[in-house]
Amino acid sequence: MKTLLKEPLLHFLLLGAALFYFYALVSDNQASDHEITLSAAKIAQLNYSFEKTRQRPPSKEEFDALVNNYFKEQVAYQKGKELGLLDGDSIIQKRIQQKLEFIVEDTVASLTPSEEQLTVFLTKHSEEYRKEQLFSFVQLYFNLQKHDDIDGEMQTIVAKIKSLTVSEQTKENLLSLSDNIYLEYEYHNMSFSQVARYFGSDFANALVAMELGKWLPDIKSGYGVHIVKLNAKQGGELQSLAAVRGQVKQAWFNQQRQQTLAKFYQRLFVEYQVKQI
Amino acid sequence: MNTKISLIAVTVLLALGGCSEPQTDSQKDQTHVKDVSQNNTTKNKDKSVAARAQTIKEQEDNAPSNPLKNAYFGETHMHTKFSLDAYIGGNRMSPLDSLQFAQGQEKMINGEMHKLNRPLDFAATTDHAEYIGEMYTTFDEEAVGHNQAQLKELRDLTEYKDQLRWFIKYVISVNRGDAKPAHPPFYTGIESTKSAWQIILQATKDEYKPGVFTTLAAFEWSGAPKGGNLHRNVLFRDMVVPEYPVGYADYNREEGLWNWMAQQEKLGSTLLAIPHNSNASKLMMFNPNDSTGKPITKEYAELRSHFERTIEMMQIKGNSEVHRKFWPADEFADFENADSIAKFSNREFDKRNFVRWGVIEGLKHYQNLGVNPYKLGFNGGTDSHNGLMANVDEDNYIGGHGAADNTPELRRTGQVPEWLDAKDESIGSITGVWAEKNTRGAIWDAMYNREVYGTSGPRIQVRIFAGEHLTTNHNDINAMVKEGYDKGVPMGGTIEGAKSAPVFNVWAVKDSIGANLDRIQIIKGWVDLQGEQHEKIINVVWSDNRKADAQGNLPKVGNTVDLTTAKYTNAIGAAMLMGSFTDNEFKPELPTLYYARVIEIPTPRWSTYDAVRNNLPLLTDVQATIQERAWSSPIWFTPAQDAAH
Repeated sequence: MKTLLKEPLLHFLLLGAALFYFYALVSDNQASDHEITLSAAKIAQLNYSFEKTRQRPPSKEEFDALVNNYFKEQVAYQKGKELGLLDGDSIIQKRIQQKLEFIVEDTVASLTPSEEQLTVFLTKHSEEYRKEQLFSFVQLYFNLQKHDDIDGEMQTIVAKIKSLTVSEQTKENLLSLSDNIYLEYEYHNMSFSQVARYFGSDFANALVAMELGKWLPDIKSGYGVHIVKLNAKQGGELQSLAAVRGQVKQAWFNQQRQQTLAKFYQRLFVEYQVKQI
Repeated sequence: MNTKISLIAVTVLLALGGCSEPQTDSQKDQTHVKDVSQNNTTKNKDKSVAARAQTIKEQEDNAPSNPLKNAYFGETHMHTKFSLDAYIGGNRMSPLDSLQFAQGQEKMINGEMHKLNRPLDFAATTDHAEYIGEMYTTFDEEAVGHNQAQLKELRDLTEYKDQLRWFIKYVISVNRGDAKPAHPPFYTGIESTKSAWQIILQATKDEYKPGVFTTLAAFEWSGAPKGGNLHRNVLFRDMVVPEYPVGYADYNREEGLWNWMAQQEKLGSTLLAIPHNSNASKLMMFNPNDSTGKPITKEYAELRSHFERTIEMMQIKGNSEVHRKFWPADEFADFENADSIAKFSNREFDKRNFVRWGVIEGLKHYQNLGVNPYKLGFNGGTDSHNGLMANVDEDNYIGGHGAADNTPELRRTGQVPEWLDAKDESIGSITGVWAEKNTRGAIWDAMYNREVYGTSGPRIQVRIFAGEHLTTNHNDINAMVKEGYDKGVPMGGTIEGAKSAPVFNVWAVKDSIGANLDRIQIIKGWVDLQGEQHEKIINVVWSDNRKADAQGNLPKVGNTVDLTTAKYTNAIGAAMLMGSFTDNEFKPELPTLYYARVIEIPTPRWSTYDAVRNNLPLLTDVQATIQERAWSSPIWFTPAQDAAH
């Protein structure tokens, strides 16, 4: 029974049965739709919402008006429904779709992935679960607003740096060529996300692709442009299931959810003979 | 009709759940709850936990550290499914989910996957302490009272409208009137509250990664006598925490909360409280009288300022700094004023509900009592009821209150019940702290020392230092910071008995992936000897070589936003601004405060992104573009004590 319960097809059958049941109920009750009543709970709610805005209970006249408005809303809704005004209302349609999708998605929540299913999933998506990369680099910042010909100037500065001996390439000497910003000159083993945090993700992505040990101009960040030399790069290894189980499990659920929804729509498309004209 | 729709859900669930174990009896439930709480308490004494504590301590000691301090960004106000109002709006995020979301993981919200544009550095979940026990009873199938009629009813409701009605019937109606607040009838007792608190704490422990991501144990005390907002978030420095948090039903006024906090301090906890939404406090946040109607005393001021070190400047339910109506001379006051909060719950706008008025009024109390009860730094928070930590990028907003605003259409036309029109919601703000490292101690201490600031979303970094003998117009930020710490005070500090004109050095850098900066202002507030408030706004440093007029006013920075695409460019503004101000009008005998406000160039508001993405017309009654900003905590100047008395 347990395995049968996990079978999505069964869920659809049950859902189908539920829908059928639901429609049967709706048609049974057609007649009573012409009879609108006011429950005690509704009266309490009307009174409450009045009190919330006015900080006092409604008077007799006000209460009658509340009730009258409530009935107006209900009869207008019933009549509007009968006149077919629900059809084509995009807000209502969207909301109904959302509700139906929630019900379908709920069936996924009861599943439990096996070890094997998670392993297969991780193998398929191993790229997304690599260990974070760490970078060691030095950088010089240039404020675009302070330079008329930034490209030309950076070329000149790179040439100048290269003309210096390694022992002359000191922090003090090089920083004097650049503009002031709060960033450090040198970073050690800074993670990808930290680089992205300080410099923006374009800069971090540039480091991923960068050759080691070369002074490179025109590396863009959120603040302007930089001349960068990447000294070392590590990390980025594939990870075992044990290390990333939580994330994998969640991603597996997301995938199940999407697949279940896709199948659900596939079925409905057939059922309602959807075609483009 | 509603009942018919929920029938589908019930039928499907019944069909699927048909094979589960028979329902546990109440006897069994009670044992289970005891097991859970006992497990959690004994675990804490366990050797493996001691070992873990040891490695946490090592990790904290070894976390990268910068003596000049870094800016770390995080969330201090956010609700998970343990908050009843959030659960009712459809929030199914656990505290663990929220803390993982804060670190950049993708999570499902309102049926769709969502993630932050960038991870946070620290976070606290602050569930309404009032009903966490009830929520535990609702979710945990083995909890005592899980199968009570009212809770079954709640779980079966699928319509937001019905859930709201349920909420009003069982919760709001017993809590916002004059009557002493109480737990709803389905509360099963303190064991359930303890169990919920343990689950929240466990997530806090599990996700703490010193040096990378800090979690803080926290809860929200949600006092709202007569509908006036007095809510406070209580944040702990470490995991020495009480057995359960307290809510409105335990202490219905703020003095009770502070006294409870003082008891916790005696028991070894280190904790502070952050008030928020003074804009909706009905004059109670900065009231000259205490809750019994007597003028506040020195003891009151001491107790309050001991625990309340910073205030949440802005959140989803509006900006509390200033309102354009009361500050017509402040050209940036018309920012997320959330005017529609006055349409609900009998609220009215009043100057005395705003933070700028409050902190300056604190100076008057200082004159009278010798202690400032409102010596508050500024920080940010969202108050998201979707379990979304600091989801404060305008282009990434998906609403803040579950089913009330989870579609573009609802955000244009809907309302957050009892609060405001959805279109008036701001996206909330974020807290920045200046700390040497990303650990619980360092981050909490920054808040305690008020070396904390708020921004309306962008990760702007702002620094301000004051002193009588600071060098002006630095070129290098590191030199400015070193000198600031050596010879002056940073934001949140106090200078007593200054005799000469104070110098202020300010610096700000744009969000690394955000918009350029327009200017840095200093806002000066003081009271004269009669206790009258005064204030002055000074433009200190700005972009684009604009010329100030004789009064110091600047031409507007411009606006690059294309409203048809919701895009802007950084063709105007500055990436970084650094400048100095010397206050030659300073009067040593008058208590005075100064805070920096950094203004960004105009960028699209969330409602503009929503309109462009969904091909809808722009809303005409909210701003299409806004100037985001950062507020530093103030620096206070007080006369030498003998001069004051």
